[in-house]
Formats: sequence, C-alpha cells, structure tokens
Amino acid sequence: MSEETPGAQKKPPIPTPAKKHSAFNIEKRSDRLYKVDTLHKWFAISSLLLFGFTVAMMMADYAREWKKYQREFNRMAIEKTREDMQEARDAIDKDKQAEIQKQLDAAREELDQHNGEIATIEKTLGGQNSRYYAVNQNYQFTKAIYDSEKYECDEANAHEAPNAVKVCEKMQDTEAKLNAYQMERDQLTIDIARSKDELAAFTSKRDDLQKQMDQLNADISRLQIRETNLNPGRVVTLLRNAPVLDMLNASEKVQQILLSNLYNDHPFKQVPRVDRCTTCHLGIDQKVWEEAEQPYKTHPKLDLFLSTTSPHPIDRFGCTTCHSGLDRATSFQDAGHTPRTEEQKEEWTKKYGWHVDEFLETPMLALDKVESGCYKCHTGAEVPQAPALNAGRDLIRMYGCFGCHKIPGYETVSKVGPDLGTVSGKLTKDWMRKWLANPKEFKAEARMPKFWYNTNNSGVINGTDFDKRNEAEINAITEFIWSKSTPKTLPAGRTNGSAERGKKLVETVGCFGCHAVGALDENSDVSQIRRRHGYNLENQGSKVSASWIYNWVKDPRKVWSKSKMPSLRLSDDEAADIAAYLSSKRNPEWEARKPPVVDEKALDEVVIELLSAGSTRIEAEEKIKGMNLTQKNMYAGERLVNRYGCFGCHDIPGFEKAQPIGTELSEAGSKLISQLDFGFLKIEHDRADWYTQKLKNPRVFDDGRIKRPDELLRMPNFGFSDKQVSSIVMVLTSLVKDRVSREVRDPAPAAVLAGRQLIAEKNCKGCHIIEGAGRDIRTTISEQDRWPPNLNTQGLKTQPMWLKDFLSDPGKVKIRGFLDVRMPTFHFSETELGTVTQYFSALDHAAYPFISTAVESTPEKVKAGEFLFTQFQCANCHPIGSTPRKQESSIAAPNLALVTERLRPEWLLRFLPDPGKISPGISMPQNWENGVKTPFPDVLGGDAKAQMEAVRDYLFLGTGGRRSGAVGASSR
Amino acid sequence: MEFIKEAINWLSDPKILILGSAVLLLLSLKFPEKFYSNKSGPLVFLAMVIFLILSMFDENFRKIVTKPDNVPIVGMLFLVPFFTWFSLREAVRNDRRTTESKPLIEQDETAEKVLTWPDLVYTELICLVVLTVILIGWSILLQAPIEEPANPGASPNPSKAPWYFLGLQEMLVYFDPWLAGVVFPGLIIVGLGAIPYIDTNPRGNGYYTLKERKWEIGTFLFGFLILWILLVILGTFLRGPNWNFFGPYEYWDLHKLEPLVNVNLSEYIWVKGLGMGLPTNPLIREMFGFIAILAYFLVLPPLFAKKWFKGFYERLGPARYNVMMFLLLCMTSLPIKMALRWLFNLKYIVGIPEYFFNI
Repeated sequence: MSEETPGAQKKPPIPTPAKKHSAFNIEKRSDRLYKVDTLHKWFAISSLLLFGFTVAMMMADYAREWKKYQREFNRMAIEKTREDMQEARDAIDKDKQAEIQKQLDAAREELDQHNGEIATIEKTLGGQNSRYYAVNQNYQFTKAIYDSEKYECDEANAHEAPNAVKVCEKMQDTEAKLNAYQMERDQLTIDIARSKDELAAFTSKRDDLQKQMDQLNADISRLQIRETNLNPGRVVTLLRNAPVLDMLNASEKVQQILLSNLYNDHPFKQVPRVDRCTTCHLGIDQKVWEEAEQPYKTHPKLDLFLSTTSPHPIDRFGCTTCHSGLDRATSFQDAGHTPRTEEQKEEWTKKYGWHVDEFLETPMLALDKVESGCYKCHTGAEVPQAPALNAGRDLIRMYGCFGCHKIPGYETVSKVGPDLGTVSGKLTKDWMRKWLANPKEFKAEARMPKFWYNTNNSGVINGTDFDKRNEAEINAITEFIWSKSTPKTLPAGRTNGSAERGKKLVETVGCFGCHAVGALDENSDVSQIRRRHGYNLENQGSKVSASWIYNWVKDPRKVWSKSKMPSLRLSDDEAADIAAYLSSKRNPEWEARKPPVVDEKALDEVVIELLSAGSTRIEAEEKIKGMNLTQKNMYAGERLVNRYGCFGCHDIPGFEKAQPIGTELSEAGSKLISQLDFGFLKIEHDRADWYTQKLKNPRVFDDGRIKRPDELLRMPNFGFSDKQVSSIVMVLTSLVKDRVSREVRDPAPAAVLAGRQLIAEKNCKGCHIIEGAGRDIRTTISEQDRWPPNLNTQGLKTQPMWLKDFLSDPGKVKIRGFLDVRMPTFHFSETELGTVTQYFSALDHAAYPFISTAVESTPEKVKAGEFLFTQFQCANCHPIGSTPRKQESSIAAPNLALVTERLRPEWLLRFLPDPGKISPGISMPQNWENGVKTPFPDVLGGDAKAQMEAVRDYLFLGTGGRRSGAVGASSR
Repeated sequence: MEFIKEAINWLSDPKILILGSAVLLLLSLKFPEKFYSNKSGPLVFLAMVIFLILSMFDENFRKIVTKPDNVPIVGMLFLVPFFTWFSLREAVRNDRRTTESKPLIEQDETAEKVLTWPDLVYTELICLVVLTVILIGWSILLQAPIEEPANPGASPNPSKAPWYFLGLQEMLVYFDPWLAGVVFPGLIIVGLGAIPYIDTNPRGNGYYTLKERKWEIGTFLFGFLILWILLVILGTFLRGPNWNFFGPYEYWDLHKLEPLVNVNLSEYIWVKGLGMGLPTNPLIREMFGFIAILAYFLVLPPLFAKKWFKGFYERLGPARYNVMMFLLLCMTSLPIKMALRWLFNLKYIVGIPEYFFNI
C-alpha cells in the first residue's frame, strides 16, 4: 500500500482559458464541451414535454367517470324539457291566444294616442320616486341615530349621570327631526300612489290582457327558464367547469347526501355516512326517468323509498344504508357494485373493468339480495315488504338453526324437534337407527338434517371406514337416548276409524294450515312455506302406531305438555278416523330395510377416540378394556350427543343446560372474509357465496382435506333447495354489525313487534291473511268462500275483550258455521292473549283495551236501517242467531247475532262502502255503488253515509243484531 | 416449462438465494475481468429483460410484479446491477490501464474542463425537467394504490413495511426486534458515518479501481447488495402471507403452513448434548450463549489481529482496528445467524424471554 495514488502521479496541467475573450462572452470561448445551441434545443423539447405532461395530468385528474354521466344526463334533461315545451305549446288554445293578441294590439294602439299625457305622468312619478328614496334614507339614518341616543338617555337616567338631561334633550331634538322626515315620506307615498293611479287609468286594459297572455304561456315560460338553466350555452358551461374556475359554481359537481343518523361502522369509530350515489344516479328520485337506462333510471319503488312522502325519504336514509357499498365512492368500481348474474358480471367487466374488490368489506348487495339491507332497522320477526327475507327468517324458525347458532330474534323461540324424553314410548329403536342414517329417505320433506353419510363421512376417506363408524355412532346415540327416555303411559287409542273419512277430515278441518302430506308445490304462486310449520304427514304409518296418533290429535298437550300443536277439538270419531288415515300412509320400501348391524371394532375406535380427547390414548385403551358393550354405547352416545348438539332441537333429559354448539351468527353479515375457510373450493371469495355453499353442502369445505374424524365439520345437511338457500343467505347477510340510531329504526310500536313474533310462532298466517301476507292453506281449498277469514283491519273490527274471549276458547262460538276449517284452540296464556289482541289494535291504531260500543241514533234512522237491511236482502246470506239464512243456495256469511258483542260500531262504516277493499275476493256485495251512490234515493235523503249508519244502528240497536237466541255454539 | 418454474422457485428460497448471491459476488470479485467486461453488462441486462418478459406470462408472477407498490422495486432490480456493473467495469478498465502504465480514464476525461455555467447547470436543469416529466407520466399511468378505509381489526396479510425498510423486516426473521429494529439500524448509520475515519486507504480517490481497494469494495458490496438490497427484493417479491416464503411463480396461499421447529442454543447443549433438563435460573441456562457472544466480540478481534488481519492492525492502530472489528462482526452476525438457522434451526443463542432479552 504505497503513499501515492496513481491519479496523483499523472495529473495533467490545468488548461489556461483563452485570454482574449471576456468570461461572459461564453459563446466564443474555445474550451467548451457542449454547444449551447444544442442545449437550448434540449431545453425547449424537455420544457414542452413538461408542459404537455402537466396538461395531461390536469386532464387525467379532471376526467372523472361521473362527469361523463352528468353530461349525458344534462343532455337528456334538455331534450326532455324541449319535448315538454313542445307539448305545452300544442296544449295551448290557439284561438284564445289569437283573440287575446288581437285585443292586446288594439289596446296598445289606443294607448299610443295618449303618449303625451303618459309621458308627463311618468316624469312626475320619476321625480317623486327619487325624492322618496332620499327622504326614506334620511328617515332611516335619523332613526338609527335616534335609537342610539335613546339608549344613551336611558343609560344616563338609570345611572343618574350628571349630563342626563342634556343627553335626553338631544334625543328629543332628533325625535322631532325623525317625525318631520316621516311626515314627508308619508306625503310622498300618497303622491306616488296617486300618480300610479293616474297612469293605470291609461294602461290597465293593456296590463290585464298582458297578464292573461302570460298566464296562457306560463308553462312554456317555466320550461324556457329551465332550459336556460340546463343549457346556458357551451362557453358558459365550459368556463363554469374549467379547472380552478370550477370552485365558483360548477354545473358538474359531486352530489352528496349527508346522513347524520346513519353510520359506517369502523373499528372504534362510527362515521356518519355521506352518500354520493346521486352523483351518477341522477334521475333516481324523479318519476320521469322510468324508461331511462342505468344509471339514470328512476327507483322502481318511489312510493316506498326516496320520495319525500315515502317512509324512507332520500335525505334521511340515503342509498348505502339499504344497498350497502362504499358511500363516498364516485366511480363504478369503487362504489362496490355487485353483479346479479354471471352474464352481468361479464358485461360489467367488459364495460367498466369491474372486478371483486378484496378490501371492501361491505360491497353493495346484489339487487335480488337487497332485502337483507332492511333488517338492520326492521329488527322484528317480520320485515314489511320483504317476502324473500321473511321466507328466510321463517325457514330459520322452522328448521331450528337457532338451536345451535345464536341468531338475533330467535332467543325465545322453542326448540323445533320433538321431545326425546318419552321417545321410547312412541318409536322403535330400529326406526330411529334408520331415521338417523338418512331422514329424507323416510320422507322427502323431513326437516331433521342428515348428520351421517355426508360428503366428508361416507365410504372410505383417508383410511377411515366411515360407513362402519357411522353405524356404530348412530347405534350408540340410539341406545343412549333410549336409556334416557321414560315412556309416557297413554290410554289405548281407538283404531277403528275410517281412513277415507279421516283423509277428508285432514284435508278440510284445518290441518293443512300447518301441515302437508307429501311434496309441496315449491313453485306455487301462493307461498307454501307456512305449511312446513308442522311436520309433513307422509308415511306416518311406518313411524307411529294408530293408537299414538289417536291420542296425539285428540289432545297433543296430553302427550307432550310443551307441544306447539293446537287442539282442533276433534271428536273421538274424528280422531279415530284421522288416526286410521294417517297410519295408512306407509313407506313399505323403508319398512323392509334392515337396520344396520353394528361392528364392535368400529365402536371401539370411536370410544377410544372420544376417551383420548380427555386423557391419553394409552389410558383410553386401558379404560375401554373394562367396558362392556352397553357401557361403550352409553359413553359414546352421551359424548356424541354433545358433539352433534342434538339438544339444540330436542329435549333430552340431562342436557337441559347444555350450550348450543354452533358459531354465533349475530354479526354474520359483517364477518370478515378472512375468517371464512374456503377449503379447496374454487368459488368467489365472497361472504354470500360462502354461506350459500355452506348451506348447500355444509361439509363441502372438508373436500380434499386430510383430517381426523373428530376434526371434521359437524354441521348437518338439511337438503335445502336453491330457493331456500338463497332466502337463508339473505338473512345471514342481513345480520350486520352496523348500528343505526333510534330515529331511523322501524317505527313499529313494541306491541306490533311482539305480536308479529307470536303470530309467526303460532303460524296464524298459515290460515289467515295478516298484514297482507299468508293464508297458505288456500291452495287446498277450492272454493274461496270457505277460506279462513282475512284479518285485515282486525284491530278496528273486533272488540278487544270479545277477541280475547274468543281466542282463549274459539270452540264456544261459531261465527262462520259454513266453514269446514276450524279455528284451533291454542291454549294461549293470559300474556299471549294480551299480546295478540293488543297487536291487532296497535296495527290499526285502534283504541285498546277500553272502548265504547255505544251507538247514538234515532228511531227513524233505525227504521230506515231495517228497511235497507230488508231491501239489500242481508238475511239471504247472513244467519241471525238461530235463524238460518233465508236462501240456502246463496253464499254463506257470518252470523249477525254476534254484531253487538263482537264488532266495533265504527268498523261497519269502514267495511260497508267497499267490502272488497278490506277483504279482497269477499262475496259480500258493494251495496252502495262506489260507496257513495245509493239505489234508494228516497231513504234518508239519499245520503249513502247516513244509510250505512242506519244499517249499523239497526244492527246494534234494532232487532237486527239484538235478536235473541244463542249463536249455534260449537259442540266441538 | 413447469420444470423451469419449479427450479426457479427452488432457487429463490432464501437459503439458496442469499448463499448463491454471496458466492456469485465473491467469484465476481475474484475474477473481475470475466464478470465486469463490456459484454457482460448488456448480456445480463438482456437476460433479465427476457426473464421478466417470459415470466410475465405466469399469473402469480405478474400479480406481484405489476402491483403499483412494487413497480419501483422492479426498476431497482435493473438499476442496482447496472450501476454496480458500470462502476466495476470502469474499475477493471482502470486497473488494466495501470498495469499497462496508461493514464486513467478519469485523467483522460478531466483533461477537458466543463464550465459550471452554462454547461453543468444547464444540463442539470434539463435533467431536472426530464425527470419531472417522467415522474408525472408515471403518476398518470400508475395511480397511487389507495385502498379502502383501514381496519385495525383486520390488518392485511402480509403486512409489509415500506420497500426501503423491507431489509429490516427480513432481519426480524432472524433477530429479536430490539436487535433487528433498533440496534442494527443504528449501527448501520453509525458504521456508515465511521467509514471515513476507519478507511485509511487513500487510493481510489477520484477514480475507479478494484485492485487497489478490493477489501473495502468487497465488504461494502457484501453489506449493501447481499445484506440490504437482496433482503429488500426478498421481502418484496418472495415473502407472502404470514411472512412465508413463496417462489416467484407460486400462489400466495394464506393457509400455507411452515413448521416452526427452531430451538435455542441452551436446549441444544443442556437437553440434547448433556441429556438433562434446562436449569431454572436463566443466567445459568444461557451461560453458554453468553460465553459464545462474548468470545465472538472479545476473542475474535485480537485473534484476527495476530493472524489474518495483522496488516490492518498495524496500519489502523488498536482504536480504529477494534471499532472496525466491532462493526464488521456485527455485520457478519447476520449471515452467521442465518446460516445457523438454516443448518441447525437455531432460534436464539441467548434466549431469556423472561426479560425480553434474546440474541
């Protein structure tokens, strides 16, 4: 390492600059590397490039997607205005216009002759006006000074200032001046009015005509103003929207709705929503754009959403509250639009470069799933106007998802499966073994899901023979359940009924409100979901004995005290007939099947596995040596009941306090995608897609996985149809963690919410129409007159006390003797009776529970009522007390003897004008045409309303409703 | 095709990648004439472009490379080798000239003067304008990758540091945060600041040379290229969810599992070596680790001074020599720890989680 560097040795001498040129005259120096001319050129090129790129940057920044839509919408709006203007022009009465024009011309001509006089008056008026301006200003300024001096004077007096007198004197001077100015101003006002009158004497005729003309053209002028606003000319538009200038008053700008009551749920922070959707969806709340293309199209349900008169006005609810998506976004992609179908997805990908946004946790709900946005505010058992979501909630109730998973709204619903504490008295072990293996093979509509022989536990997988194992598990559970069950001693049922009569009874007496026999029409226009409320009655003969059925249908609560099935008050004969019919429904193929033979080795393997979960395998193997077959079955059975969570749906003695085994679903709609295991499945990583797959085949995420048997997914397969899956998924995605403030929540009163819950639990809508939905039973009854009643306006209709009495025992009175369907006895508790009666009253905003049924009338009116009652031939259809209806051939109607104790008088006045409006399809005629025109103009002066009152009065006060004689009370 | 991809995936494993690159660097410094010739640069450049273009056909590769955050690092992939090649080629050319007793390139060039105004300032101005144009163009083409509102409850996986810190993040695989995140970054800055005081070799001032500064250049290139740039590249392109390693053509599977079977030195000695349980007193338990660390920092410098670094010791004097050795040993501790991890699954040399003290 030497001291000298190679560079130092050969340093060249520093060249001396040419001396003759000044240092500033650089162009001429010889010691130059670059030519300045070339540098100038490069500088010019790079500067131009910089300029170009800066402009490009501004343009790129200004070329926002939404501006394109706003421009297009503006064009459409102008076009529409022009069309409207043309229409308005065509609508004008041309003759009238010409006439007014003619008169106007004449008036103007006449006016011209007085030009000299008019000019004089106008000149005077001009002078008066300028004078007025000056005087008025003097007055106002003096007034200001006066006010200030008045304050000073008050102040000085209050503090007894020495100069108080002086100050107040000054104020008085000013006051005198002020009064003088006021006088002058008043005089001028009078003068001006006089001059104007003089002028009007000449011009009033012309002005009137001009006004008429303007009125004729009012529509056109309004549209002209709108057109000018929309289209102020190209240059103006360009300038308004130019960069930087656009801060003043741009016509293209982001539209937003600030929602201070609705929040985006961010961790630790609730941020108010700011919806910018209307930046592109410009016509969304205007009715005229119904035919337009997206994004301009009008909202399809303006009566329900967006409009100011709807329950969800746009400035209070915005868009993303219901639709989800990123509220602040202003581009198609960022907003989080979700395609409905594969085709739409492809179209969007092509058109907008759409792709799944992996970071957006709340993408928009696809349009067919949008109902799930309702639930966050409408948290009741039923969401108004959301049939698919309600169907999903009904399904959850019927299939008992809440037995294993915590789902809000189902906390109080009772378990869906039958009691297993007495099962040994009802079924046989072999039946149960076969049933557990595959419930759907027994009956297609079985609600019990399949736990075994699913995709992850049938055949041989990873060396485990699942078929043998399943048999061992099923057997162990059966044996265990049997050991826990104590059969209930029931009297021997009658079994000598007629199956034929039984069939007729089942079909007519009302069983079909909750039950069905065999397959249901999935695609029926009428919802059939409530007919799944009760078990499908297929193949009952292969399951239970006729004697058991007899006892059950006679009084379910005697067989199982917690039974939800109401009593139809069947006679012994009827019960025997039904038992005979149901036990004749058999599944011979199933009966012939042999129950599985258990392989003890497989059972041992299961037991050892279960034992080693709590200790070591060595200990487990030691322990099993000391167990006999029964002990093994008991041990395995108990542990397996725990593993599969059978107690979620069934009462099993010893498991009363067991905790449900499933994942909590209270915030299923906000669950992070990363928390969902998609396994090896090639599906879109999307919440709804995951739930869909899970419901279609709950074990599918185990496909291709290597797992020990005790690690396998446990959720059983319910065999849901695609439609059912989609409804349930909608419910799951509706369970979001977003909180909404009280002001925007469902305004339904607590009474209505509680009522809906009970109505859903008791399946009232299986037979009745309530809140516009239900009566699923009608598909089984051909004549509309025999359908159970529509309960529309029920709250206004019946007296609360009467309704309560009726519901506690519907058998004691027969309102509609002509119906085959019976109102069942539900054995409502007092609380429940209160809930139902209050629900109906609250729904219709009717008084509750203390009401007046007094009717004030005159004898004449009652008489008129009687006349009308006879003339309308009411008694032809309505029986009155024990008096039957007069005409057997006519349609049957409710007994009128009940009117006074049952109805609220004011309801009749609502019902009579248009019975079909309250109960569509009702046979009751509209006796007053359109509710106003009477066929009897002589009665009560032909006043339809008075006539209806008369009929009501007759029913309540006259012999109409009062006619004694008990209503044919049902013996059943 | 698949086979080639598999092979490249295999080659990109940190063990092979880091070891291979280090060997390649050493070889290139051993045979600079071969590696830093006029042809080698364009050849490597061409090979890299072809590699990039061909690899773009692979979906997984394309996804990672074209991510807007990663584009600058792709640029760095070309720039860093270019400048390394360029400077070392100049060095090789100069070294050749010195042996042939010809003037250096720099001497030839500086024979002519450049005026500050207008030549230098004007060219700088033009350069500035052109670079601004490039930056604006870039920002128009590749929008800033702004995502949805962040959710602390669901941080992205992998969570990556900004690209220039990915070397540090990679160090966290091998060292405890207090070392990899605090001590080492501090030492890097201190060490870089100390270089002018430690490096007394006057040669190479104002001109390129390799022969006369092989040790200095080699040490720097090892630290910069292998222990920094390579780790940045590794962190950017090859570390996926859960900071697992993924080959350039592999899908970043969230569920990939890697066995975590690392053990501490104490377990090696007490449990495996001596066949007894771990002592309860952490100081006794970690005794051997402390001895190893102390030996590393206290025994090695004098030993080296006596044997291999005799010349250094004489030239630098004890103060400078010991500072240099300390910094050098800290630097080499990273590859040493890497090697120990790869070979013996060694987790910590000293592991006292009771006091959050792990080395």
